[in-house]
Amino acid sequence: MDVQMKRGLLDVCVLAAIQSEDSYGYQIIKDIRPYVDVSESTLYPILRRLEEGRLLTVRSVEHNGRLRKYYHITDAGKARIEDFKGDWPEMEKIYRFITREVQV
Amino acid sequence: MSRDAFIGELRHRMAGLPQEAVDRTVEYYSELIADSMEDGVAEEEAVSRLGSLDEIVANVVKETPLTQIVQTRVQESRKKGGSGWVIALLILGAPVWLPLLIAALAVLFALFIALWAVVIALWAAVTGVILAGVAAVAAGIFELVRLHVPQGLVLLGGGLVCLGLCALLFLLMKLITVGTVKLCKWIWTGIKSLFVGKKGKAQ
Repeated sequence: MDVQMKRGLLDVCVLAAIQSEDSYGYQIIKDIRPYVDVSESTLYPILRRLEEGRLLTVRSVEHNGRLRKYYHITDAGKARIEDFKGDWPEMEKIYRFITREVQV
Repeated sequence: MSRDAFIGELRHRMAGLPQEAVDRTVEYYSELIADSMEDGVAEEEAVSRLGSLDEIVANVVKETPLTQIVQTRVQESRKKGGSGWVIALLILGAPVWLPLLIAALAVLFALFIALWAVVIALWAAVTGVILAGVAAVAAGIFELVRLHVPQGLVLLGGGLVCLGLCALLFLLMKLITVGTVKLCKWIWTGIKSLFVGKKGKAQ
């Protein structure tokens, strides 16, 4: 997929992956990967960006004698997902326009 | 590569970046390795899944502002060599290094301006050809109306050649402009990475 387009989508994907319950890096990648091709090194700046934008918060939890970072979605993060859902009809309209114009 | 070797190499290559960014990056990648291994992936495999070190470090450098990188370098060199001497040398040496630094920055700036001047000049040339084309076509039509057929045809033909050439030149110029923007970005990232990882090599 186009890099610019994927960038915006990945933000929402990560938020969706932690929406129902807090999750950690490895699990997030595992959850998203069947749908979008995401690498460990691309997820890292996304998590940073979302944290800086206060769309998620981070806490360290002890797990098997080491620390694991859990990501928790904030209200702003949930609002971002809602925004994306609200944008969808418009995006579909654009998609229909593009496919129709290409066929003619 | 083993997990320890990977983490060691990662730290080594990030030398010169702010300590906080280094620690956070190392934490992130060691957590991923530990979680993959818990999931039943072999250590070597877990490390190789993370991708190349070059890519990982390049991503961190891109995200870190140059000012932060320089600040870290200065603080580090202060910590290393008895700070008093270094500061004294810096102040005493100012007549030498200050003009050199200014000269280096000026050269860099001049190169940047020269690069863009060439691009702007080329655009101006293309615009000139377009104007000449339009003028020649107009003059050609005028001559034809005055029934100076040979002159009119020559002018019209020349004008059309100019305009056709412009269409091609325009595409070429677009490529050149985009290329120059990319080159500038690349140079900027290059300057940033000059400050990173150097300490590692010296060791």
